[in-house]
Amino acid sequence: MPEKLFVAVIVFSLISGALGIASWRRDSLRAMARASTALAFVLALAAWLVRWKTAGHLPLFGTWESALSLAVFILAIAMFMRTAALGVAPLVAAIILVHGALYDSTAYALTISERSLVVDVHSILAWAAFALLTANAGIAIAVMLQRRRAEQENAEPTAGERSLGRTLSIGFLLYTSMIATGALYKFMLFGVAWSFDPIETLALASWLAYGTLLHLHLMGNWNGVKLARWCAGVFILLVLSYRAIVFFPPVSTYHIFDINLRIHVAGGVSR
Amino acid sequence: MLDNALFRIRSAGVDVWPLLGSWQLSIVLMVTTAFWYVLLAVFAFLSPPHVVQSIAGLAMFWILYALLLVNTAVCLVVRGLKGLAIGTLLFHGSLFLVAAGFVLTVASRYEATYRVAEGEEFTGNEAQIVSTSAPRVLMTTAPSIRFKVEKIVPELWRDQLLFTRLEATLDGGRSTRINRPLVLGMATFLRLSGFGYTPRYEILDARGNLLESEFAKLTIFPPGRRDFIASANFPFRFYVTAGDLSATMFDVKIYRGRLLLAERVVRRTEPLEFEGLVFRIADMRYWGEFTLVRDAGAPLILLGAIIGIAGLCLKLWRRA
Repeated sequence: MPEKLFVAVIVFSLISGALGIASWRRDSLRAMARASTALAFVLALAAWLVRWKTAGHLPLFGTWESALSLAVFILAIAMFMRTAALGVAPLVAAIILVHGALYDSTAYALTISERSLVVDVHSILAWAAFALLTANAGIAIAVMLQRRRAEQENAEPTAGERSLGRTLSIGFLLYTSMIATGALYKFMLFGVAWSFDPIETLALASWLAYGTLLHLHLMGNWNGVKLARWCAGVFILLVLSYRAIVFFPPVSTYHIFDINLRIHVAGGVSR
Repeated sequence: MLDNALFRIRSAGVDVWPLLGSWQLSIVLMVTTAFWYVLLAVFAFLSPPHVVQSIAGLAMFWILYALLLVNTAVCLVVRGLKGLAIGTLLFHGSLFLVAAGFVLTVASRYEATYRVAEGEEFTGNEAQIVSTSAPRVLMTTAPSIRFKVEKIVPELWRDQLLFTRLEATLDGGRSTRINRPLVLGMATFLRLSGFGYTPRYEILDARGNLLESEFAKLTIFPPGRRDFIASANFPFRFYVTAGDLSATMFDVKIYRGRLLLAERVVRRTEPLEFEGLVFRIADMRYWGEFTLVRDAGAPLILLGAIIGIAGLCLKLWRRA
C-alpha cells in the first residue's frame, strides 16, 4: 500500500514541479501548480502515516523511508511557497523519491538505541530543517534564474529574494534544534554530548556556514543574487553532511541508518 | 623612544576592541572553524575515532573557540547590551553556557563501568568494577553509589541479534535502559550499557554430591563468543560457548592444564561427565553492564541549548 502511494507521490511531484516551473512564465498555471503540490503532499503524508503504522516506528530507517520522510516535509513547505520557486521543491522531492525507490522498501524493526521519543523529535527536526534549507536552496536557484531575466527588464526585489532570508533564519533555528536534540540523545545513549562523530563534525560545519550566511545577511546586508549564490553553495555542504556519512567507515559513526545505501556505496570493499 | 613605543602600544590597544568585536572577525572565525571541521571529517574518514578526538583536542581548536567567545563577548559589549534584542542576547549568551559546560566536562567528567548480575547488590567491590576513567583536573572522588539489580529483561527481534528491549529493574522501583539513564544525583547518571549471561555451574561427584556451585559472569553473548569458568577448588577450566541467543545450549570443553578432558554440546541442567566428576549448568541469570557518568558540564550544555533555541525563537517571532 505505501509503495503504491510512493509511486503516486513521485508522479504528482513531477507534475507539480513541471507546472510550477511553467508558472514562472505563465501566471495562470500557478493555481494549478499549487493544487497539484497540495495533492502530492496529501498522498505523501498518507504514505508516510501508513508506513508509520505498518513499521511500528517513524519512517526513519533505510533509504526508502528517509526519502519518503524528507519528501513529505519538502512538499509540506512547497505548499506554502508563494514565489516562483514553487516548482523547484516538488522536483527536488521527486528526485529524492526516485532515488529512494531504487532501494528495498522492507520495514525493519528499530533497535533499542534507535527507539526513543528524543530520536523521533530529532528526526522530525532534521527533516523539517533539511526541507526548509532545501526550499531555501530552491528559492536561491530560482532567484538566480529569475534575476537574470529581471535584469533585462526591471530589477525590483522579487518575492523569492525576500523569502530567502526568512527560510534561512527558520532553517537555522530548526537545524540548531536538530543538533541540540542529537547531542542530548548522544548523552542519553553514550554518556557524552559530543564525540566528533563525523555526523556531528559535518553538521557543525554546516551550522557554522549557515550562521555565517545569516550574519552576512543581517549585518553585511547580503541579499539578492549574492546571498542566493552562497545559499546554493552552502546547501551542497548540507547535503554532504547528511548523505556523505554512508561513505565513512562504520567504526567512525553510529549514524548510518541507510544500510542498503551503505551496502551499495561500500560494495564488498572492507576497510 | 620608550614614550613612542608606549604610545604605539596604547593606540594599538584602543583599536583592538572594535576589531575583536567586529562582525567581520566573526565571519573569518566561523569560516575558519567550519573549514577545520570539514578537515576533521576527512580525518574521521581516514583514522579511527580516538585519533580524531585527539586531533579535535589540539590547541588550534581551543584557540579558535576562545577567539569566537572573545569576539562574541566584545561584540555584545561594544554594541551595548541594552540596545540588543533579547533574542540575540539570549542566543549569543547561551554560547558561553555551552562552552562552560564543555570545559567543565573536559575538566571533571567521571565514568565507570560495573558488571552486576540479577539479584546482586553493587557495593563497589573490585570484582564488580570493569573500568574507571582516568583522573581529571577537577574530579575529586568517585561517586558513592549502591544499588541492587532486581531483574534484567532482554528482548530480541525475531530471534535475531537485534535488541528491541533491554531494561534493568533496580531496588526501590527504579529502572534504567541503554538510552534512558537513571538520575542518581546532581549530574550523576547510571544506565544499562551492556548485557551478558551468568550461569550457575555445579560440580558433583559420581554419587551426585555437590562439590562446588557458583555463579560466573561470562562474556558469551552473542553466541559464538567463548569464555571460561575457573573452578575455585579444582584445577579445571570449563570453556563455554552459547549455542543460541536464549542460552539454552552450550558447547562445553573441560581442560586440566592443556589436557582436554571432555567436550560436548549440552543443554541447561544436562550433565557432562569427566574424570569421575560431573559438570552441569544448573541455572541461568543475566548480568548487566552499568555505566556511571558524573558530568557537571552536561546540565550546563543542556541549559545553554534550551536558552539558545529560545533566543532564536524569540528573535524570529519578533521579526515576524
